[in-house]
Amino acid sequence: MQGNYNQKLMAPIVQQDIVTELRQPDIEAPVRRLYENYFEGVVAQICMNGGTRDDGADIFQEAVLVLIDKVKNGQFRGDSSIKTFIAAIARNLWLHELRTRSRRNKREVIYMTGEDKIEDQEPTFFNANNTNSLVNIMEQIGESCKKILTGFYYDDKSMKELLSEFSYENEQVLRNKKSRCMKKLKELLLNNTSLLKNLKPISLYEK
Amino acid sequence: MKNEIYLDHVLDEHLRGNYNLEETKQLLINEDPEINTEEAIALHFAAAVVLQRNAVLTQVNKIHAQFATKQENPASDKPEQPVAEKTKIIRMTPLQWALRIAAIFILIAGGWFMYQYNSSSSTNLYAEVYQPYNVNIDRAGIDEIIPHNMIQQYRDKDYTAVINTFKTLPVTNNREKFLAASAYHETGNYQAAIDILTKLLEYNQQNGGRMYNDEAEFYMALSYLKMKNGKEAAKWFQIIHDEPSHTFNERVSTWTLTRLKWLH
Repeated sequence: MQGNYNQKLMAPIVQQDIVTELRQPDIEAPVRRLYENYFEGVVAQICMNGGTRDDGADIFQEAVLVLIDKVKNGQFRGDSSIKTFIAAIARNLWLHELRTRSRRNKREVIYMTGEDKIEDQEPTFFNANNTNSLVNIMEQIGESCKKILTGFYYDDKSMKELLSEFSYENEQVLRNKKSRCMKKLKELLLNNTSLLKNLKPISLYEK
Repeated sequence: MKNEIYLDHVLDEHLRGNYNLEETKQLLINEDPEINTEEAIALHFAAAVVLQRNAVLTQVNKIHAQFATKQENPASDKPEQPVAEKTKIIRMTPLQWALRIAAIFILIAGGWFMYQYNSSSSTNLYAEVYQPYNVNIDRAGIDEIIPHNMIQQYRDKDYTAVINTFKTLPVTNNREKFLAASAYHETGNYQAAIDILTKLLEYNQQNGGRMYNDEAEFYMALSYLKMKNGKEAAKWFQIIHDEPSHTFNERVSTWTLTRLKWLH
């Protein structure tokens, strides 16, 4: 899927910069650049292949999440173009979606014979079901738990750093709080067997 | 009693690669002999994965919402329908095409008819039909003695002089009558023109002559038209129209007569 991407008035994409920035905990700036440069093109391609703009937006978001996952896991090192990668992922995600809809509608769908086709895209972790479950669980553990656990497991902050960030009496109290939060999170996960099953093949991010 | 905080610490260290799997399992069992180490490790791992993915998802969602909102703004960017729906192709049956062409034809014809109807004033019709009379051919006989300058005055378009000369003549022939009537017509005295032309035509009728008969009928019609007497004008134009050999027959079409009828 070769998008006619409009790059007017946008921060230019420097491949290695993006990859480096996506490896950091704070990824808002590189993600914004990805959206500015590639969002329209992917959405246009999806629209040209029977989708709506909403479909295109959802597919692009999922493709970006896949790219971030690959970068953070060290599977994408910038050997191929980010643009090509996103376009290919998006195309295959949309192909998968069309097939799903086709099965649902019991009719054939003929779609796209692109040049940059990569291997068939398996459903990614970031499909609508999983992301909804994820958001739902995180809402249930509460805002303070979310912040502490995210600080520890995603931002890779030490307990001392977290202590300076949150108003707890001492590190032990904070550890207690973190432990209770993790227990709650695990209980919620145990109650969501579908999500838990889908999490098994997923790797933790590289440090 | 098991120490949850310690167990978490062991599992965290395992996630960070500080304890290998066997060390981790051993430490967990040491703290809680009843623990299912495989399950505990897997669940801890899953929880950490959830936290990491949620952190990424939260940040991407934040940017995504801004762009998705931008798409929903109708003033910016493109509509949200798929391309296939945007370019709607209208397919019509032959009957629909025929009806459409007929409707267009009716619209055009109606517009033309309305224009013609509105432009069918006596002034417009007069302008279309009127033809000035030219005395280029002297119809007088070679030996005829003409004791006045009426013909020359008419050629000079000195209509007042024509009328004055006419008034001095004790007896007038059809040519003098017609030139005088035409002069009255040109100076706007249409009733005087009609009176003289009526006498001319009566004379012809009584004597079976045709001299200046066609001219008299045509200017009679024109004079009535100028006086906005459409009914009388139509009557004289109808006579001209019905007579193919009439000198002014070509000036009066059926369409002229139709429009004349609209005037009265």
